[in-house]
This record gives sequence, C-alpha cells and structure tokens, in this order.
Amino acid sequence: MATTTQPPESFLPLTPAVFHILLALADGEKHGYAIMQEVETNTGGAVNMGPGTLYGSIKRMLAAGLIAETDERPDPTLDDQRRRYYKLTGLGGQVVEAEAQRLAALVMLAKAKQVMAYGLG
Amino acid sequence: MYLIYRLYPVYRISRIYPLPEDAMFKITTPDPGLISLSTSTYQLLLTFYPNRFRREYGAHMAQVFRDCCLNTYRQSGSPGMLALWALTLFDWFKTVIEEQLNRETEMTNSKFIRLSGWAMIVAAVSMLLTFLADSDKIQRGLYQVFGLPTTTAGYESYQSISDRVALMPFFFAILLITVGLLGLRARYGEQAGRAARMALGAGVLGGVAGLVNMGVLFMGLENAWTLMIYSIGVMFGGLFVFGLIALRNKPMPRGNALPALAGFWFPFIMIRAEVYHLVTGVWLNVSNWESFTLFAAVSFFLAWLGYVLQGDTQ
Repeated sequence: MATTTQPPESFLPLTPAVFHILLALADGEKHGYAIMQEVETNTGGAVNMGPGTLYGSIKRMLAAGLIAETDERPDPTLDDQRRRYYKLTGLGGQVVEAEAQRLAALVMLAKAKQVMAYGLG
Repeated sequence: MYLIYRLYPVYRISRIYPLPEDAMFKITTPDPGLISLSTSTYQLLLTFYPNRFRREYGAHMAQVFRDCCLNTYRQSGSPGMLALWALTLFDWFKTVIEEQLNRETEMTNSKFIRLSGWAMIVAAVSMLLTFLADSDKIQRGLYQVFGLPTTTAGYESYQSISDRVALMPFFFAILLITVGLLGLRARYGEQAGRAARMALGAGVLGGVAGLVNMGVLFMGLENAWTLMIYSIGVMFGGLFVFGLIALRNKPMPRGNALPALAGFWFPFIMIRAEVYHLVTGVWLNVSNWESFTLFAAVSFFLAWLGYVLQGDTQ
C-alpha cells in the first residue's frame, strides 16, 4: 500500500460536502443515509446533499485516504448487512481539524473587523 | 422494543421512543406506490453514471434514495416527495456530469501512464541502439558505401555525418525517458511527496533541455555538446533523486529501487569525469567496456521500471 505523505493543509479549503461528511464521521462510524441525516440536522437543513453528491464525495475521500470503509457494525441484529459503514482515518481527522481551525481563524478575522456587529456578533 | 416499532406507525412511536439511527431501514412500513415508482425511476436514472461508479455505489445510492423517500413521505406526504424529487434531479444532473468528466480524466491519465511505461521500455532499446550505433562502425559503413575519403575535408564530413546518425537513437531515448518521467510523476507524484515531484520536474526540464541542445547539435553547433550532456545529467539526476525518495516513501507497488538504479549511472560517470578533470587536468577517457556497462545498466533498469509503470495505472 502506498504511503500518503500529503500534509493535511494541502486538502484545504474543503468543499462544504466533504467538510460536513468529515464532521458527521467525527463522532463515530456511520453509513451513507446516517451521514446524510446528520448533515441535514447539523446544518438545520441548509445543506441538503443528494445521493450523487454523497457517494461522489465518499468516492473521492476514500481515494484520498480521508475516510475508510469499516466492517464493524454497531449492532448487527438491528442493521442491514448490505450497508457500508465509513469511518474517519487519521489523515481525515487532521484535515477536518485543519479546516475547522481555518474557518475559526476567518471568524476571528470577521469579528476583529467588526463585520459581525450587526445581528451576528 | 424492535417489535413495537413494527406494530405502530413510525411517527407515533418516534414521539414515545426516540428512534435508533438505523431503525428506519429495518422497519417494514407500507410501501406506497409513489415510493416504489420513485425508487424505480431513480434506479433508471443511475444508468447515466459511469459503469464503474454505478457498480461500486449504485445499489447504495438507490438504498439511500429509498430511505429519503420513506422519511419524506412519512413527514410531508406527496408534496414533500415533489420537493425531494426537485432536489434529487438537480443533484443527479450535477453529479452525472461530474462523474462522467472524472471518468474521462481518469481514463486519459491511466492511458498516459501506461503509454509512458511503454515509452521507457522503448527508450531502453534506444539506449542500447545508441551504444551499437558507434560512430566508428557507421564511419566504416560510409567508407564501404561511398568509398574512402581522399581529403581531410572528406574525412571531417564523414565524421560529422556519422556523429549525427549515432545521435538519432539517443535523441529518441531521451525523448521517451522524458515522457516516462512525466508518467512517473503522474502516477506516483502524489504518494511520493513534493520533493519527489520536484525531482521529477527537474528531470523533465533536463530532458527537454537535452533535446533542444541535441537539435542545436544536429544543426552543426558543436558547442551544444557540453550543454546537452549536462542537461541529460540533470534528467537522470532527477530520476535518481526521485528514486532515493521512493526508497523511503515506497510509492510504487514493487521495484521502488528501480528509479535510483536507472538514474544512478549517467550522473555517476559524469561526476567522476569532472572530478578526474579537476584533479589531473586531463579529461577521463571512458573505455568501451565502461560505456557498455553504462548503457546496459541504464537500459536494463529503465525497461524494468517501464514494465512496472505500464502495469500500475490504477
């Protein structure tokens, strides 16, 4: 297996879909539909990705080594074996952290420039 | 608990017991015709995705879409289904185009990598031909065809022609090795890291500069010879440095030592000649045996490297 030596920063900025999928997987492995639901919940329905966007992003994230498939099932009796579960890899964790820090720095900048003074700040 | 889910409508149960994340898929609720029709239609739409993508993810996408339909129908009925379809059609249209474009790019990239592997193999043969196209032999051939020259100018003319003929396979070898370096960069550049990409980039530039100088040499400007040799030294040097990084990072499935072994010989002999010249003030005379070893070793390792590259396009 080839070793990926790409630094996490080289993946930034992430697309909204990739960032939200990584966030959804940050607290444990999930299958596609659970990821989709969590993204919708986390964003209050603002990000509503379809199956094409979800699995297109998953394909690219698997190829980049940000996520990995897992064979483990939270409870096999309550689940369909056909479902694929995904989990964050070490690199995926570093990338989502780097992106969150990048966004946090932007928010800090916006606060410093007082652009959030009206209604948001 | 699971049996209760099966016996009561989901919307009522969800008020009493929070649904587990995966329950939605397992619960057998009535499947209205609208959901069956939607799922079948979506499965038809999936045929527009590239085959490989559809084989890998099609069933999961259909499953997720069916889950969405069930959830939407329960929550919002038929009007909700219309909204879901609007979103899904937009998503389908956008991602079909994306995946088809990706497929084209992947195919082009994979074809180029395969071709560049073969280019290295042919380059190895050209390197051997370069050694065989020894100028003395060509010159003797010219004597046989056109007769012995009678003047000094005649000898010089024959010498000039034979030099150019001997350079032809070398020109093709350098051209093909440059293509091979581009293929290595495309296939292993990401895994090997930035330094490796830079080394291969320098190698490609060296190859291009070597070809330009060879062209100048063909036109009769003898001064281009030194520049050509140094440029080709940079080309092989780039391959050698990439090889050293490959030994550490192991980006190739096998044969990670091959780039270093193929790239080592030319810069080694060049540096040895330069050091010898600096120390003694005389240019080192490379024997035929040494010259053969150089060309044979480079050809052998280049061919092997090309073989690995052409078979590792995924």
